Amino acid sequence: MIKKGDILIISFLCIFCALLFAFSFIPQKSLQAKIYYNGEVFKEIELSSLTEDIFLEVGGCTVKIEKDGVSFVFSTCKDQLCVKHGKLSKNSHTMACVPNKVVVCIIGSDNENDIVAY
Amino acid sequence: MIYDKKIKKLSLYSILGALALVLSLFESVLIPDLPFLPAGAKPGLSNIVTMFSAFFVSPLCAVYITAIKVLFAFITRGATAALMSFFGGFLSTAALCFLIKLEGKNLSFIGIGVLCAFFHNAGQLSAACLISGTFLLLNYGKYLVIFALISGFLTGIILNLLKAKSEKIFKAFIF
Repeated sequence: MIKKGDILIISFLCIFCALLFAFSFIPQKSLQAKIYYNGEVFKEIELSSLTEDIFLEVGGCTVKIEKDGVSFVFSTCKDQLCVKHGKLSKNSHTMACVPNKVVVCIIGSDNENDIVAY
Repeated sequence: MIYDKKIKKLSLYSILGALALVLSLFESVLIPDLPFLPAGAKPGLSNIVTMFSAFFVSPLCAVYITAIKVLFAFITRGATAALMSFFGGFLSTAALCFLIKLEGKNLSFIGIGVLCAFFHNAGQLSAACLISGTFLLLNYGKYLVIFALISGFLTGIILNLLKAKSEKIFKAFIF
């Protein structure tokens, strides 16, 4: 039932997917949470520097920022996908509330490497 | 008697359109939010109908069904969902109309289904990027590729079964 072309397509996509995953598994020393609203950076926070949880209200969403991750706790949108998704805690984890145009992203900020690079 | 064929065509398109809507409603209501699934990911049951119509009826029928799905998303889930449905739906239908001609010796519905699911997800993701204004959401793409592989594979198997078992029956019914 399965044919040559199918196997070719599936293996090509598998390789593509493996490459995408490989890039996100590069270990990072410290993590930074970036909150975007309407395509622009709304707030950047170094997660390890936090002493207490922050609740950030942005564009109809409430974002909770903790030492070990970021999560949507409230949203005015219809589907509530952002709230259901739970906490983002690892490098390159991204979640958006598309109707409210809020995007939350975790980015590794390897400061030592930056010093070497520049 | 001139209208006989037209009526047949109209009713066939309506039945297929209704089937696609019911299937997409079914999956959005009945499939729970499992923690290991990426948020908002759905198995794409209505893609079975789109692929079926592109192959057994005509590519134009698949385009009509996609348009009905976009309209339905707009009525029930709002403008954002409609825009995402539009991008995903038409990108995957365009790929489908092109690929359906290649079906045969070297390519079966499994490969076509996987590619269609991939293009559907790619279209939706780019719509989400456009709306939210950042390309960061592309990070989310890696989960969607895995999901496209699984759901496209299942769609393909179902269509292969449909084709093998009942091609003659369907052709007789349709024209």
